[in-house]
Amino acid sequence: MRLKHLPAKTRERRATVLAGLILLQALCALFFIGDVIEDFRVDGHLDNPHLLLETIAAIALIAGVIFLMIELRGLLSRMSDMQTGLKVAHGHLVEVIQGFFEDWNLTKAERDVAIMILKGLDNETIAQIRNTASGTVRAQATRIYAKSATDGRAQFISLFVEELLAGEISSENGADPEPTNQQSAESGTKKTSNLITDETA
Amino acid sequence: MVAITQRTSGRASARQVAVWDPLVRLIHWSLALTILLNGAFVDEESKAHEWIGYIALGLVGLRLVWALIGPKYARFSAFPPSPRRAVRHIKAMLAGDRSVHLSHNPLGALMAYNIWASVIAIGVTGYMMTTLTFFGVDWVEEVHEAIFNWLLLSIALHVAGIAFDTWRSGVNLFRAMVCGRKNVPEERNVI
Amino acid sequence: MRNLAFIALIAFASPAFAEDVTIESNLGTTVAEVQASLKAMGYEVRKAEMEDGKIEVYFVRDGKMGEVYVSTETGAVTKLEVKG
Repeated sequence: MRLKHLPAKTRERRATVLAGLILLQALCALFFIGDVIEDFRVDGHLDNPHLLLETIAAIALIAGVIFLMIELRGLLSRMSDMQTGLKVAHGHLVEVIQGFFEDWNLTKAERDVAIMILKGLDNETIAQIRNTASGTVRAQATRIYAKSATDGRAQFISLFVEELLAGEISSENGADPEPTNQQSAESGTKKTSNLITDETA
Repeated sequence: MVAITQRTSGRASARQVAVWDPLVRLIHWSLALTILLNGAFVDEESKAHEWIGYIALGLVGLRLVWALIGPKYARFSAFPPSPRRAVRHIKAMLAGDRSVHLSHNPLGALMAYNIWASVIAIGVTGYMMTTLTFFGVDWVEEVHEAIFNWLLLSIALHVAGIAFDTWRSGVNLFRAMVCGRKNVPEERNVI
Repeated sequence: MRNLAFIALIAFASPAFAEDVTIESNLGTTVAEVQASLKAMGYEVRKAEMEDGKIEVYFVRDGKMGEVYVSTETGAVTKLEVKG
């Protein structure tokens, strides 16, 4: 899940820096407010220009703190959305897999083999796991590709990768959740690059 | 699709939830530091003692503002002060309920409000001692000290509570307040 | 007895002007003496006690707050702080 790690770490760091800045600014504001209060107690009035400057500084700092808090809240919300998006994508993918398998009328055995293909296992390994001959697995695989209208292993797997990308993006943008394979191939790459530039902005 | 879930769940059967944001954590540990410094290391009569006290007040103030406008788990709404809920929580625990509260559980909530109120009271009485009206006045100093002692007791209880709840719920609460994420065991109900 | 006499002397010796407590002042060697001395100088005593082996007194006058530490041996001022 590399998509999760790269931007998430940067966002986490950014959030921490924001928090630190909020704290520092708040303490600075506290310092100036304290000064104003002290001077007011000694003098009894607030017409001193020095005091005026300090009051302005305190107000500016407080405004900064509030603004940064709202920024931080927004950042945290986007971070959690991304987590949710990925979870939705994950759950979505399981549903999608189920849906596809049903659409294609895969038999129970074919479904098992199909899953193992998705997991990256080769025919020999699948045969070992299922305790059958590799010829059997080859035949099952061929039927799977035929039923799914794919040319072979790579294309079969890419069906699901595209679905994962399309699903993730749609949960962020609220776009149409079930594009056709052709559409998702094009819009998938376009939206992916948007997603990447958005991250680095 | 039982086959899929069984084979693809290679990761630990726990989920990580980001609960304590960086500001909550920063304020928590900074406040703990101010209490430690003023309680154990800094001379009571020094200017530093006063400044650290005001910083503590500022930290609590900041946390209260964050509880108004911050993210979900940091808000008052996530852990309202409710003795009734606290009692219900105790009964549930006794009955064996292993639900996990993502934000402060009702008991923890009461402790949080208690600590914040205590710090405010200590800070305010401390400030009062610097004013002409209350300078050298006995009761102010006595209240200041008494509430500080109450705070120490509360903190001891707080630490014990954290240890207890970590053991009971299986969620490492100390670690959560350091890194922000709670590792919730898979099958738990989450509040 | 000696203490009482001393206090009485201070109490009845009303100065014509308010004297300031300085680092040079000798205020006495007991809490009661120091309190009386300060009062005679026109200060309002807010708090007087033993602290760290010294006599510690908090006082107020003319809107100014102050703290003084006095040695129990010599009666001399070991620390004086006056805040405007």
